Amino acid sequence: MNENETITAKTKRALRIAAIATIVALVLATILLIKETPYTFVAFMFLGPPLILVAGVSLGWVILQDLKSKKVL
Amino acid sequence: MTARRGALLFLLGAQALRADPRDFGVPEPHGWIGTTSQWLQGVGLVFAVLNIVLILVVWRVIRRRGVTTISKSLLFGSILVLPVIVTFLATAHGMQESMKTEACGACHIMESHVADLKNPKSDSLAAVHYKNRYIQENHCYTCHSDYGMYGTVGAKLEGLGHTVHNLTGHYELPLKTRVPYSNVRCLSCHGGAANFAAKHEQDQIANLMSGKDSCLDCHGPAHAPETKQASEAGKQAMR
Repeated sequence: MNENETITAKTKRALRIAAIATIVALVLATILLIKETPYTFVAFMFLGPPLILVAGVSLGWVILQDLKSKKVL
Repeated sequence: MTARRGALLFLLGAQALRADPRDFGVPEPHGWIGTTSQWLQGVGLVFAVLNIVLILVVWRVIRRRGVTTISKSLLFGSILVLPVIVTFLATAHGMQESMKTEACGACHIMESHVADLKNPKSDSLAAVHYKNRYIQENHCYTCHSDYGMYGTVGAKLEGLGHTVHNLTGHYELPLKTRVPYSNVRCLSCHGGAANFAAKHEQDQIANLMSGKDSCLDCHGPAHAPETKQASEAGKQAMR
């Protein structure tokens, strides 16, 4: 396996989106876990799972591009 | 002397209003390791903080050294695996905690209802159930949700509606239930109880079961209208 691969701008952007979306979802989860109020609960329930889905799709796209570039797919 | 005894009884009563038996001297069961919700909260917090730290560390490694096999594995774990676990734990904790009276009382509009509930001098139906510990926890939720899975889902959706109404200010005072209060919520506990059967005639029971008569016709009001005196007494009891 080729170590220390260089990443394209598109891949970097997708990874950044995935990381930021996950961190925002985790911050909302942390706030909910520390102090449960109707507002923190509703905020987490409506924003958390969609953000994690966005992160998952972004990372999935990166994995797909990586596999295609290595001609695995 | 009488005043002192009265004050002592009031303090003891106020002490007994707390929901957790440990708060008024009931020893913990053998091998007590906390409640499910406390565990969900603790484990969830640990996972969430670890996950955030892991993402930041991986991001730093990628910026310095580029993408490596290890960083790919860590990215997969920190973006696809751990967040799903944290979401599950946070949702479960949120669901548990949103049933508590404190969650309902978090909205300003509900403070007077919670104050009446916890007011030992109040004779409203809610306060009588609270001070006698007929319901031991989740007092608002127990009486404002139907039993069964659909009841839980319905109560959560109602709660979402209440949060939106509270945020947008779209509500009218005095607060009223959107639909008439269902006898099923009373009867799910009282129906079949020996004292319920003894104190009601057969035709009364039939009318209550069919919903022709409302329990609140005789046993209301469910919540006493808020007065400054009741509010102060309730606040004192909560301290």
